[in-house]
Amino acid sequence: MSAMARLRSWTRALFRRSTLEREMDDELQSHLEHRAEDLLKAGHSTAEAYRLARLEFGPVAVQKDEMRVAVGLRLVDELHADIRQTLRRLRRSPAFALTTIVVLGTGIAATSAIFSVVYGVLIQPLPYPQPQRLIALTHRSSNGQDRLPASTALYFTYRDHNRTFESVALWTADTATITGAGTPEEVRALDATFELLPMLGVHPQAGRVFTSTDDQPGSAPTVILSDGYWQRRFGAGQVLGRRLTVDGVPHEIIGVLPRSFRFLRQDADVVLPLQPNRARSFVGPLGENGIARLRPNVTVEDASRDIERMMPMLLSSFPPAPGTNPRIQGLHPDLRYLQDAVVGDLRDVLWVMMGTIAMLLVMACANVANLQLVHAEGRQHEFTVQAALGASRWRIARGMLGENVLMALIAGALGVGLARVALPALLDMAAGQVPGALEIRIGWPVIGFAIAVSIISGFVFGTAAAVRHTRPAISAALGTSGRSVSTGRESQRIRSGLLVAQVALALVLLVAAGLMLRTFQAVRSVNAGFEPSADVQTVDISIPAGATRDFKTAIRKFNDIQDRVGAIAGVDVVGFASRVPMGRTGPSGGFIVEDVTPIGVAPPQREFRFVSPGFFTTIGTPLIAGRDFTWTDHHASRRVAVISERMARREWGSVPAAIGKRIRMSSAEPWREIVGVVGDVHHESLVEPPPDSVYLALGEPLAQFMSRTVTFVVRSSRAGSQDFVKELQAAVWSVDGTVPLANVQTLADYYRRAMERTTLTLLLLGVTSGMALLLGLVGIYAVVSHLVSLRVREIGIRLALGAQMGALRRMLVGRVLALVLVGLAIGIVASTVLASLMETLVFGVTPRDVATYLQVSVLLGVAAVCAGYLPAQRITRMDPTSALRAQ
Amino acid sequence: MAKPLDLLQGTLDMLILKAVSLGPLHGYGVLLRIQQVAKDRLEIQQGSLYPALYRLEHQGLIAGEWGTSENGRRAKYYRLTTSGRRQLADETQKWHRMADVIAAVLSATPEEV
Repeated sequence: MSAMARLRSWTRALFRRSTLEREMDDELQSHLEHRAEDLLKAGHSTAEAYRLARLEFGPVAVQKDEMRVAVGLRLVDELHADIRQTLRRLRRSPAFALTTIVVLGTGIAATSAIFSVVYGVLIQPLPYPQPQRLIALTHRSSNGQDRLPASTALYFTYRDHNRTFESVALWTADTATITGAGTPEEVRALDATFELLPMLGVHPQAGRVFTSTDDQPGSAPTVILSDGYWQRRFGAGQVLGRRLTVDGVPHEIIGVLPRSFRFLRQDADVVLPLQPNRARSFVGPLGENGIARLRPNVTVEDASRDIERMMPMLLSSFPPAPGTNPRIQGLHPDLRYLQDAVVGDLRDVLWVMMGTIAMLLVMACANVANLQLVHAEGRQHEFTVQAALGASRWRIARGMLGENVLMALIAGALGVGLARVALPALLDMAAGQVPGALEIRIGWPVIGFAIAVSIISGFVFGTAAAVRHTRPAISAALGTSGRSVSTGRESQRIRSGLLVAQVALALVLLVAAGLMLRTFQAVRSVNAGFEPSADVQTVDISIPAGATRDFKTAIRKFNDIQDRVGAIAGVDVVGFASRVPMGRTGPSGGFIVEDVTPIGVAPPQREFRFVSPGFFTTIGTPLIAGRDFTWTDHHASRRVAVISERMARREWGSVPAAIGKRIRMSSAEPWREIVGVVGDVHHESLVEPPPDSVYLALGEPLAQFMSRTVTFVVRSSRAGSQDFVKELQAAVWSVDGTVPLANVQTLADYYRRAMERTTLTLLLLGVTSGMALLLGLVGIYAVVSHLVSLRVREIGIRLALGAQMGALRRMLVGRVLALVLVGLAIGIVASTVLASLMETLVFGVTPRDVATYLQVSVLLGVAAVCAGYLPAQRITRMDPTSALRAQ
Repeated sequence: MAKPLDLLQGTLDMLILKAVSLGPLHGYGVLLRIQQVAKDRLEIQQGSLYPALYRLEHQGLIAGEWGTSENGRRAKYYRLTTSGRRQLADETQKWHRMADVIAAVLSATPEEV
């Protein structure tokens, strides 16, 4: 009750201040008048009565002050005074204030922008209820492959026998062809079992989600639309119960997802029931993604044990797939939290970024601290007077710190504003790297972070000056009246420390940037095995089974399309494949090599692709031995294969030896003959060694693996132009008018995306370290020029006593050099420690690459000494007599 | 007459509470009431009265309201609030206990020790 009363009274005092002041005056006046009246009655004259009344009352101003204190206004008043004074002081030295605010504001902007990404990706939980209970069902095989997905057989096993999951779901990312009214289009689809959407807590904005009935194979086809697709295709009209032709089959629209729904990295337009077929589920291959919600109070370890327990049930309940590797041996759980699975190795990049940006901010603080020291030195006299008038050390320091924090907060506001502007550009650059399910924006957490950073940095950069300049040395400071022979040893030491710190930090950042530059060069120089040319147009074309049931007819159509496209003016060569290098991932299988693979041993998994005649020529992959596919291979379903050079050498020792040898995917299928060997292609990643690859003709037996979506590659100098794409479309539609063109790009785009992470990291580190270098040099320049200007008198004396200018200059530069060397040494040590964080980011160079360290050190050292030499140069222009007279 | 006593530290608040407990008073009235009851044996600094009044009002022990005094002047009248009444009873009781103890200690004779 008392606390409430106080708060009420305090807020009233605060917000109705003028009323309070007036009432105070009135009340004291009333007192004096009452008293004077009594004194009058006692026989004093009027003037005398008033005089006595005032005298008895004592000093009115003091009483009023105490009355204000009594209602808790003291702190408020002092703060108010501080702020007023601060603003006045800042107005008096705008250059100082502006420099501080801009330097710090830039630092805070960079930090906030990166933090918003770190927060959105790493800290903010996934936007689903109780996300900490969601796990990705990934696996590891005993032959060392990890992060393997799941399969329908695993899904059924887990669903039937688990003791730790609340629910289990399976999903794959897919594409679907939409035909019917309007132009045919290819859309992004999410195939999911019925548990997925409820597991993620999704409530459709219209209609319903899938039921287990929808998910039964053979049940009436249904589809759910995303909000975006609903708006785009149907103008947000009434759609429930209407039909949408997906892959040639009419599907009933049963629901529309909420606008906010995002699924991990997928941005699906439509969601289709996966309809896993128990009768056609086999142990392996692992092609679908599993996801599970743990029961409450169940750990990932519990779940792993549970899965180990269920593995024998899998092998006893499901047969191995016909035409595939007979057995998956030793499959084990490799479970991860869904969030970790989504973020993947982006985590490393982000922490490195956050670390480097934090270092930049520290450098900005060091620079500003230095500026503060200089500024405070100029105000030494003012502080001394304040102290002499009885201001406590704390009061003076508070004034200074208040000033700093105020500037830092202004800088923070500026920083948040800048970050808001910069973030979209940053996200644009990183579009392919950041999972879509995570929302990244400058929200309250980021603003809170920026405020905290501002206040902390305000304290950090202000403390040095506050400690240094509030020490009571009144008589000494007053006596010198701001004129001293040399600067205080202490502030020199602080400044030297700041210089060393800046050099060290700049070195760390430059080393990081240097390592990334080398990585970039190394990745660029990797022979990708194909020519990432902007002259190769790529386009996805799909002939879904729903529209063209017969596979041979589909192959015929693909052949016709290739012929028509090849006839377009300006086309050099054309081909297609189930996947292009650096494109979507696809199936793999264990290939048994005749007379090589020991019987009963599972062969290693090798990825395979279907390619058309001309594909290798189009993408620039050389045929090393044998021949390319022919159309006859495809139409006749000949059992032939082309393999990569690496695989040929691994299995038969040499390229020519591989020709005519035979391989197959299971003992159940006939052998297929190797007719050609092509150069190695980096299909998945430039930094991993190229995989052993098998290329197959489009044949009936493997139709189950063929999604019927292929990517056409067309080499032409006209690639990329709108007209060319229109002609491509016309050529495709002259064969089949229901076939949509999707994903129109060039091979160079695929390559660029593969380089994206390296490029992005390099770019960010480059910008950061460039800023760091600039800050460092500005800092050194400022320190040395201040040193020179403070020592003008000392230098004057030395010159007058016959010292050589050259020697003096050397003395100053030597001092800077010594400090820079100390900074470099510390920086090198710090870099070697911090570089281990970059282990996963670098390629073709070790994080402790001597050449990089050496080059960066020399570069920084030379630049630093130059920055110190310039102001030292001013000594030469100095006249001893005027120097002696200088203040 | 003996020289008036200076007020003991912290007792002014209690005296103010007591004074206004007898009926609403303005600041000068509080002063007069205390001096009248104390029969001029206490010296109260007039200036220190107002910070004390403000403090008590801030703590919600008394409540002030503007009114007109007996001689037609505007004045702020203070009255005791409920929590002020409780506080006064509390303080009075404590004071009596304290006075008893101190008196007992001071009047101790060698035989009692």
